[in-house]
Amino acid sequence: VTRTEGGRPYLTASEVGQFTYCPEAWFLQRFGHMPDADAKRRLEDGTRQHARIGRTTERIVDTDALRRVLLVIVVVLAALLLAIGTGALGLVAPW
Amino acid sequence: MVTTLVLLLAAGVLAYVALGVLQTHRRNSIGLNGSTVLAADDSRIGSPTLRAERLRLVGRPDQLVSIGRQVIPVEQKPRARRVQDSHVLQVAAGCLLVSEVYGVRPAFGVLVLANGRQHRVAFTPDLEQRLLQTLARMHALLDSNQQPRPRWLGARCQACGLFSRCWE
Repeated sequence: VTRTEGGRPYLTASEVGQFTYCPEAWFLQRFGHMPDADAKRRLEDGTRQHARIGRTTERIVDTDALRRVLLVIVVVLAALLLAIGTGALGLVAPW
Repeated sequence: MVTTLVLLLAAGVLAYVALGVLQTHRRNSIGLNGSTVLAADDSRIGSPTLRAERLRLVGRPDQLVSIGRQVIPVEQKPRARRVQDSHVLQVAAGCLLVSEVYGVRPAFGVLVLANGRQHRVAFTPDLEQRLLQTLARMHALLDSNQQPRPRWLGARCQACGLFSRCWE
């Protein structure tokens, strides 16, 4: 996310949060002041946690897609069995 | 043949139900219960950068989800134990961006705290007003290149990674 466009400053949604927490800290970070080593470690930890959440979200989306395919297969199989059961396909059901 | 079809059907139903249980567990673990994921940052799914040109505001929510046909922005705060005002304003900024880009105002945004605890932030006209005032103050500081004066916030200052820049 860029911070200036056409020479005009843009704000990010996360900066709104930073400013609300502490205007001074937001301003210093905006102009490149680096936090100390402890704060950097916390930031890195936060990045790792977000990456983990991102991976879980991918799995959710992939599995949702798989479930949709499974549902189609189940419906087709059920319809096929029903058709066999009622003799609609000209096949004789064993029951 | 019929026996095979019956077995396949049973296996399909079983797999569908088992995956459903797994999905519920996964959704709960990251606070996305009751929603459908539309976009996700930090993943190959990706999340669009939302822009409000008139407010000179941009943002990329951690997730965009669909709840009850509404597009809802989600912010993940996996280290936070309780809701803070800064979280609320960030979620409000996400809601405003969604309104600008999708043309439909979300009734709320979602904040997810530690352990996947979901908290809904109502995007009320009052909250929107506070957000607009905050944006105006921020832009005024940037346009005038005026650094805010430090104010002592006690434990918050002592825990801040920029403590020495402000107070020493």
